[in-house]
Formats: sequence, structure tokens, C-alpha cells
Amino acid sequence: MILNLIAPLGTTEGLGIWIAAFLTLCIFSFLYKDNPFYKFAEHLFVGVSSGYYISIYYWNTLKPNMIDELVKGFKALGQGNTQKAFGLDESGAVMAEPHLRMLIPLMLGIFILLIFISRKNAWLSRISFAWYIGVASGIAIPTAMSTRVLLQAQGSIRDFCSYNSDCATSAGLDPQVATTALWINAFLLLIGTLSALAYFFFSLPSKGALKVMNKVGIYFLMISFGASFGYTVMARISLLIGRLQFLFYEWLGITIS
Amino acid sequence: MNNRGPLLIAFVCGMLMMAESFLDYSWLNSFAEWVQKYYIIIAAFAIVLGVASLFKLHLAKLKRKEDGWRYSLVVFFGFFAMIITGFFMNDDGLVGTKHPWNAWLYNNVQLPLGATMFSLLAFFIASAAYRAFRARSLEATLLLVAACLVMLGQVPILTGGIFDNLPEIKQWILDIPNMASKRAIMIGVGLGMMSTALKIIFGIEKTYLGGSEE
Amino acid sequence: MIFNFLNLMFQIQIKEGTGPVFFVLVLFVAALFFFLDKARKGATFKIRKIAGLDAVNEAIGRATEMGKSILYTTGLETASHIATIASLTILSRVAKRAARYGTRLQVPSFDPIVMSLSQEIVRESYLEEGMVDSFKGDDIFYLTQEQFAYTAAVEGVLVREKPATVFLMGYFYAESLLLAETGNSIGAIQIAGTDAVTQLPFFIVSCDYTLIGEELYAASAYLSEDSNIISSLKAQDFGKALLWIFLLLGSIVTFAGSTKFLSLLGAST
Repeated sequence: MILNLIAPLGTTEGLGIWIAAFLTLCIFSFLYKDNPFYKFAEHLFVGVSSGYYISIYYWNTLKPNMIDELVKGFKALGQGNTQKAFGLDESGAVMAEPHLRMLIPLMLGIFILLIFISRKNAWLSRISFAWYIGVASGIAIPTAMSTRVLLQAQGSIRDFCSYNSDCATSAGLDPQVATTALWINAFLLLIGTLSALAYFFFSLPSKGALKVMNKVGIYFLMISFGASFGYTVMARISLLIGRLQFLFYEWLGITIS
Repeated sequence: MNNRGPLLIAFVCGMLMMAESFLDYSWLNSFAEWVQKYYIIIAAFAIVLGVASLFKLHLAKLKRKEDGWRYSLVVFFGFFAMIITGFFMNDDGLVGTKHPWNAWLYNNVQLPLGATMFSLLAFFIASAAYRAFRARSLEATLLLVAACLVMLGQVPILTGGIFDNLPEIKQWILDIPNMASKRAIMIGVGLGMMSTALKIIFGIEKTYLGGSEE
Repeated sequence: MIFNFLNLMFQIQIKEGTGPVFFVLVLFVAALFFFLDKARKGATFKIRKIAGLDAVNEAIGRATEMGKSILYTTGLETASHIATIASLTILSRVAKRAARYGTRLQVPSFDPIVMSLSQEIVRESYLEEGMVDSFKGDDIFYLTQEQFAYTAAVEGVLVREKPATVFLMGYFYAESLLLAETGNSIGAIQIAGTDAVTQLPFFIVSCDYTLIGEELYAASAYLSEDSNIISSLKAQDFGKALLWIFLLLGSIVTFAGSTKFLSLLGAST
């Protein structure tokens, strides 16, 4: 074990390491119990991060996408170029730069602020929220259908295809040699999917065959949860090792050789 | 308060966005592109409400000298440190999160705090595993056995006999029973999402707007 | 085929490869309206027991008896995430019961839009229960949009306020276990629900009840006690039943060497 040098306090870099180390220990102290050090770190974290996100929103979203666009739009309007001001080219086609079309999101944004400014007019915020959630819902529907429902169904059926050389060739998949073990696996996969899917039937009473299937479904679900759990453990331990390395190596300067 | 207007807006926006994924019209496609790119502006405005809420909470604590009011000062200290360095300082054109002081605060305060919170999971996962270990049911046992096999399969520290097969067993659990349930969950979630989103677009579910129709 | 027909008949320009998604969507919307119509004509639908949902009343009652509060988090996603919206509708049902019993409800929020929506929803619930005077807007508050800063702060609320009941509903990331274990350590009764597949195991282990995936969406309908909304569960079941049969038949046919079913779905990728 070699002790090189504890991070020097005199430099901005060294000071940063000392602060980071102190805050790291503050958070770790929560493992013992809630205490003033944790409270300090927690409140600092909330303050710093909410300030940081304002910066992010302003510099990455509001300024380039709205303020700059509006400035350009008003400039064009000042020059008498109305079409350009609203983000249309000479032929009237929509340009990528929206310019004054950004007045609509601006208005929707101001509506939201009314909650805070004037309770009487706060109802206008619902227009913004309805827009926001309506758009999100519209985007979500085809995405949920294709990436969650159909893609999974396709994956399930595809397993059976790749084991059959004729099918695999015509579907453009890599054919696999079908051994008994692989077939058993493919059928287990199917049984698992179907029984776990049956667990999510809400309007049918869990009786008879469905009851058996639900039970099998739950077993499959539990094995899957266990697998995810076990799979994550090592990743979490390596995170801890990362923090300990920071404390021992970067802060205290201890290296094990 | 009347919700009819907002519900109509949700319907029109939702239908247009949905239609856009199937129809090939340049005006519709550029409309959708515009909406997707800029509806986030609303979120940027909303952050003002968020900060107002945060201020209200902590100013009230300071005013009433509630338990732990001193920590509210820490919140303001952190907040203004980020705002001053992020908005009012300019270092040769480096502004905002690129300003060296802002970046310094981010790297030495926010980042290590986040990483340490994240690393606490190593301890919490152990206590959760212990709890699973104490549960006495077939379901819990299946979960625990699968977790142990997958975990041990990832770290080939044990060798010889059955342990040599652990990586294979792990892979089998991940590829077969795990995959089967994940598929079923995903299909269910997809249908649930679609149903919820459709209920919103068609105005069947309107709770999210708060106020009633009357 | 349908697309070719639409294209020829009405000159509608359709994006290539979206056929299967469109077809299934039309079927699903038709089912949704079919069951909605039945509900409007007075049909009632029986829904099987979902353990976590039956526990909602019990959990709120427990907080009331103990004179402690309820903590509800809508997850770490924005309002553009459908799971968050489902969580908001569940919040409205929880808030109504909390208002009825006069139990304090705290909602720390990750996203400012979600916070504003939560405030409106909870206020409305109190109004409907005639308890608007006991509504405290400040109990629904924003923290930060940083994942672990939010987690640290919610953990702080958990250990200091010691709520008797904790609801973790919506979309969660790695912080799920930090929240659930802290909730567990203070002895709160915890009901979780998420469609985040990777976080489900942690809720299962650390919470008293967990709504798995689609159950979260079903919960928002189930708790509404409104047959129009509950009818959508029938449409979901119809979709699942169709897929179930499709998967079974598709696997058998593909097993026999045909690519028919695969090509039916193939265009969707």
C-alpha cells in the first residue's frame, strides 16, 4: 500500500476533490441514520440541481429554439418580409426554421405561468396541458403498438422460424441447427409467454384452465424478476467500488500495489 | 370551469400526431416535426412553476423557523450558486453550463452527490435480498433461486462440478423464462398504454385535467 | 391490402410498412368503442381481484387510524409518459379517499408539469368530497428534475415525516429500490406500480403490493368505478386474447415451416 499524497487543498482541482469527498461521506452517513450531514448534502443537492436544470432549459431549449427564432422572425418582419418572418420560403413552403411560428409555444408557455400569476385565468393553462398530453398520447399509440406489442409478438414467432431451415431461408434469418434441447426451449418460451400473458387477463375469472395458466405465468414472472435482480447486483457493487476508489485513490491518494 | 376546449385540443393534437405516423403528406409531417421539437418549450416554462413551488416551500420554513429551517438556506445557497455562475458570468464567451465555475460546481458537487446516491444501491440491494430470503413462499423461492444463479453465473469465482455450468445456466434463465415473461409484460404494457392514450384522445378519461366539466 | 385499397380509392398517401400497426390499431379502437357503447347502454363488467388495488383503501385507512400522512409519488418521468398519466388518474382516486377521511396527502414531484397537474387533480378531488377547505396546495410540491437529488429529498421526507402509507406509481429508474427500501425501513405500507420492467423486481421484494406492468394501467380504470372507463379493460383483454391466439397459431404454423405469420408482422419492424 502506498500513500502518495492527499489531494492538495490549495488548487481549485484539489478543493473540488475535498468537497466531493466530504459530500460523498455525507451521503454515506445516511446508511447509519438520518443526520445533519445527510440533510446538508440532500438540501445542497436539491438546490444545485434545480438551479442547474434552469440553466439547461434556458441555454439548450428556450434560447436556441425560441428566443433566437423570435428575434430572427421579428427582424424579418421589420424588413417587411412577412413570409420569412413566419418561417416560409418564397414559394410559401414551410422552412425548418420556425421564426415567428414560435409564438404559439410561447403563448402556451405563458398560459402555464398564469397558474402562478392569476388564479382567475389559470384555466387557460389547461389548453397548454391538453396540447402537451394530447401530443404525447398521439405519439405513444403507434409506438406502443409497434415496439411493444408487434415487435414482441414477432420475436416470439421468429424463434420457431430460425430452427426450420426452409422457413429461416425464406424469412432471411440465420438458420440454426434444431436440436431437441433447442426445440424444448422454444416451446418453453412460448408456454412462458402465453401463460404470463394470461396472468394479465382482467375480465375473466381465474378458474379452471386459466387458473392453472395464471399460476404458471406467475412462476415465469418470478423467475424473470429474480433474473433481473441477480443481473443487477454486480453492476451496483461496481458503482460502490467506483465511489470507494474515488475516496481512497483520488482523495486520500492510497494505491494498492 | 369548462374542459370542452382543452379536450378538443387534446383530441385534435392526438389525432394529428397519430395520423402522421401512417400518412405521408409533407404538411402533416412537417407539422408533426415542428410539434415534437417545440412542445418541450412548455416544459421549459413550467420549470418556473417548479422553482416557485420550491421557493414557497423553503421560504415558508424560514419564515416559520420550522425544524431544520437552516437547511432551507442551503437549498438557496446551492440554487443561487448555479444561477449566478450559469447566467451572470461570461468567461470569453463561455456561458451557462459551459462556464468553468458552473462546470466546477457541477463536477464537484452535483456529480459526486448523484454518483454516491446511486452507489447506495449496493447496500440497499443487499437488504432487499435478505428480505427476499426470509419470505417463505414458492414464488419468493423461485425469485431468489433465479437471482442467485444469475448472480453467481456472472462472477465465475467458483469452479468445478456444477459451478462450471453456472454461466450456461444463467444464460438459459435470461434467454428462456426471463425472455418469456418480459415479452408478456411488454405486450400487456403496450396494450395498456394504447388504451390509456386512446381514452385521453377521445376524452373518455379526463381526470388529468383536474377541473370537472360543469 | 387495406392500404392498397385506400390508396387506390381515395388517393391517400400512406407510409410504407405501417400496415400491420394500422390494422391492429383500427381493430383495437373498434373494440374500445364497442365495449364503451355496451357500458353506456348499462352493461357492467366484472373485473378480477387485483391484490394491490384492494389494498388501496386498507392502506389509506391505516394512515388515517395512525394519524399519519400518505406519500404519493408519480414516478420520475414527465407528463408526456403514459405511465405518469395513469399514475395521475390513480392519484385522483387516492386523493378522494384521503379527503374523505381527512388524511394528509403529500406529493413530491419530479416534473413541474406533473406537479401542476397533481395540484389541480388533488384540489378537484377535495372539492368533489366537499373538503376543499382542508386542501393544502403546498403538500404537492416540486423538488428537482435530477434523478438522485429527487431520490435523496424523498428519502428525507420518508425518514422525517414517517408516512404510514407510500404509493410509488409511474415510471421509475434505478432509484426505485432506494425509495422502496427506505419506505420499508420506516414500516410504511407500500403499494407500487410500474411498467418499467427492469425495476419491477425491486418493488416486488421491497413493497407490500406491486402492480405489474399492465396492472398499473388497469388500476387507473379499475379505481375510477366508472363503467365507461372500466370498459376499456375489456378492449385490452380483447386485444390480448387476439394476440394470444395469434401467437399460438403463428408458432404452430411457423413450426411447420410457413413464413405466413412472420411476414404478416414483418412489415412492422
